[in-house]
Parts: sequence; C-alpha cells; structure tokens
Amino acid sequence: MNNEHSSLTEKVLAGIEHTTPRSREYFVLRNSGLWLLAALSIIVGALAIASVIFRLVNVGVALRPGLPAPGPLLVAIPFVWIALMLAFGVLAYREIRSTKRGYKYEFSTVMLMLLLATVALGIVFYTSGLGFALDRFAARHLPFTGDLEELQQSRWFQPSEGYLLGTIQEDPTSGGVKVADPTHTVWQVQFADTVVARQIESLDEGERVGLLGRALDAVQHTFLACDVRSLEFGGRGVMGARPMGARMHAAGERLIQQERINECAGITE
Amino acid sequence: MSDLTIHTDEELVGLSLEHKRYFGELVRRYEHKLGAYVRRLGQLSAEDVEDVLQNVFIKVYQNLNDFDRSLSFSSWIYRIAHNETMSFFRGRRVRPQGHKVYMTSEMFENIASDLNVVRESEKRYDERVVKECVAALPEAYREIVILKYFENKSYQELSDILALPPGTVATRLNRAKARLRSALHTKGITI
Repeated sequence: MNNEHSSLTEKVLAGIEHTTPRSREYFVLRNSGLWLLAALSIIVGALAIASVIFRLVNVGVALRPGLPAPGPLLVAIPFVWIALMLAFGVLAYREIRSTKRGYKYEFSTVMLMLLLATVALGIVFYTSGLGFALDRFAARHLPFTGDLEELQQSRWFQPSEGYLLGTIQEDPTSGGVKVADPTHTVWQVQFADTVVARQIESLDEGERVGLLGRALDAVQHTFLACDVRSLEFGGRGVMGARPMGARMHAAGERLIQQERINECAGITE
Repeated sequence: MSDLTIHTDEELVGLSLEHKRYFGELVRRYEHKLGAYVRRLGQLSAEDVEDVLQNVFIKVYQNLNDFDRSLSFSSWIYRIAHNETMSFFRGRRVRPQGHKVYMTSEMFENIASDLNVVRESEKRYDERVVKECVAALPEAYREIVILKYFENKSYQELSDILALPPGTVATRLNRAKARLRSALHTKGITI
C-alpha cells in the first residue's frame, strides 16, 4: 500500500486538522428548507391563480349588459398577481433544481408539475373563497390592481339613468323590497309586472343586486324595477355562498336577461 | 494504519468521518486525476491548480455528510472540482480558456472513433488539430467533451457531475460533437 503522503495530501490533512465535517442534520435541514421554499412558492403562485380565476369569472358580473366594453377593462387583468405568479414559479423551479437530486428532473417536467400543482391548488383556493379575500386585499392595498367592486359600482349605480345597485335590506315580498345603495341610502323598490314572483323570491337578505327600471322619486328614493339580478361575485367560498337553488335560478335568469332589458325599454325611457 | 487500498471510495468516506487519516487515502487516489481534469478546464499555473485542489479536498471533507450514496464518490468529487474550478475563474473575473488540452493516444482514439475522423497519414498532426479544436470550443461544450472523451465518463456520470438532467446532457453532447466536427472539417480533417 501507499502510505507515503504527497505534499498535497499533507497540506490537505493540515488544512482539515481543526475542521470537522458539517453535520448530517445541517444538510437534511438545508434540503428540507429548499423543498419548503419551493412549496411556499407554489402556494403563493396558487393564491395568484385563485385571484386570476376570481377576476376572470367575475368581470362579467361587474359589467352591465348592453354597454360597450369599458375603457378600463384592463381592471379585470390582475397584473400584480400574474407578475407574482411568474416570479414565484421561477423561484420554485430554482429551488427544486437546487435540492439534492433536483438536477435530475428535466426543465419541462419540473415546469409541468409546478403548473399542475399551482393550478390545482389555485382552484381549491378559489372555491374556498381565498381568491375573493385576496382580491379585496389587493384592490385596497396593492398598486396596479383595479377594483372589480368599483368597476361594478361605476357601471350599475346610476339611478337617474335607471340602474340601481345595492344590498337587499329586508326579505323581499312580491310587493317590494328595501335596497341600500353604495352610499348607504335606502331605496324603496317596487317591482313591475315584468318581474316574476319566483325571481323575487330567490333574492336573499344581504344579497347584492342590480335593478333595471326607473327612479320614481329622487327625494323619497323610490324605484320601479322591471328587472332584478344578483350581482354577487362568485368564488366567495362557504361564507359567501348562496343556496344552490338560488344560484341555478340566477343562472337561468341570465339567459333571458336580454329579453328583460328589451321589456324594460318602455319603463326606463 | 491497515492497508487502505482494499477499501472502496464509499467505505473511505464513512471511515474518514471517524478518523481524518483515512481521508488522506481519498486525496491520494484523486489528486492526479483531478489535477489533470482541472488543468484541462482552463489555463492555470501549477500553483493555481494546487490551490484549487486543496480547496476541493477541504470542501469535500467539510461536506462528507452531504455525500449522496446513490451517486458514485467519483462523480461527487468531480462535481465539486468542476464547481470549484469555475468559481476560481469567476473569482479572477476571467473566462476559462481552452489551453494545453493534454491528450493520450487512447483519448485521441476515443474521440476520433466517435466523430468518425478519417485517419490521415500524420497521426500527430490529427491529434494536434483535435486538441486545438477542443480547446476552442465554448465553455459549456468543452467541459462536456473533456468529461466524455478525456475523463471517459458515462452519460449518467456526466449528468451527476454537471448537475444536468440526462436529456440535457445528451443534447449538449450532440451539439458539442456537431461543433467539433464542423471545426475539424474547417481545419481540413476528413470526417
């Protein structure tokens, strides 16, 4: 055997004389930390996806039918979330590649798995209402993030032109209903014959609605509605969910909304 | 100390964790191989090569617990040597330039056979041209050619040393070979 040490061997042995190898736990922690960061990146990406889905699903609810697409339609595009999603996607990829065996995975495989995980988790977040909560937060606190509620308000809250937006204050009856508008003014709403009873019955107290018709008295705040529709945003999770029957009914109503707008023409003019 | 040559590299890793003297055997086994590899990666003085190697072995020792036993020790130490050499060049703010790519006849046969180089009358001339062409390759291609043909590493080892997915290794090697063929053709070597 060769026990004669070369000068390099001697130098190396001298160099490590006062050194100890890093512990196994150090490397386990470092590797786990990378996977944890990758998981966090996926979660942030999924939150961004939830917000994007929320916007895509609800931009139609914010807009008023029959109007040309609004100038600020860009409001519907959640730029900040898309940027965050891309940034954290790249971060997750880099972290996975930096793990002990991460280099073995092909770029396309890692990106496909990341995309699937992010989108799947994003859908879960959206249906649980996190997309709604995040969108509210982003609209109020983050720059370059338009507010769907503001867009909806600018399109639907024009009582003098026959459009009223508000929240149902009392259980509706076939006779009428009280609606609080965004300025907290309470309107007494009467329904025209064009509004069918089951449409009125499907409304819930606290529900956000849009009314088409005519302001009868701007001082007394009375409104004659020839059509009513729910303007609740979808994807609000369990807390904001409406009964399934009501949602199905609202969906059915949307199919004939154009017909109702035509019927309303006589009242609003 | 008992006869250390009977131990595999992987066994010596375990023994080195218990006693530093065993690590000397790993240094002895790899200092010449890694020295040649580091010299092939770029232009370095003998002192620089020794500095790089010393850093490599100290890093290996400090990270012995990070050695993944699903890899061969050889791939792992080559990866550390590769990274350390590249860091050395980055520290000096210079790109590693191909330089004096030492090549044995066996290595030349390897590369010539894989690239279908038709033997010219002057074998020495062929070898010199091949060396020049390898040295002139871009860094990413040169390092993969050096590992494949000069260090005689398998695709799996290339993947482990360069920390690249196997598919990327195959693609990069094919591109490197295409570049090399083209360069050889330009220099008048028949392929």
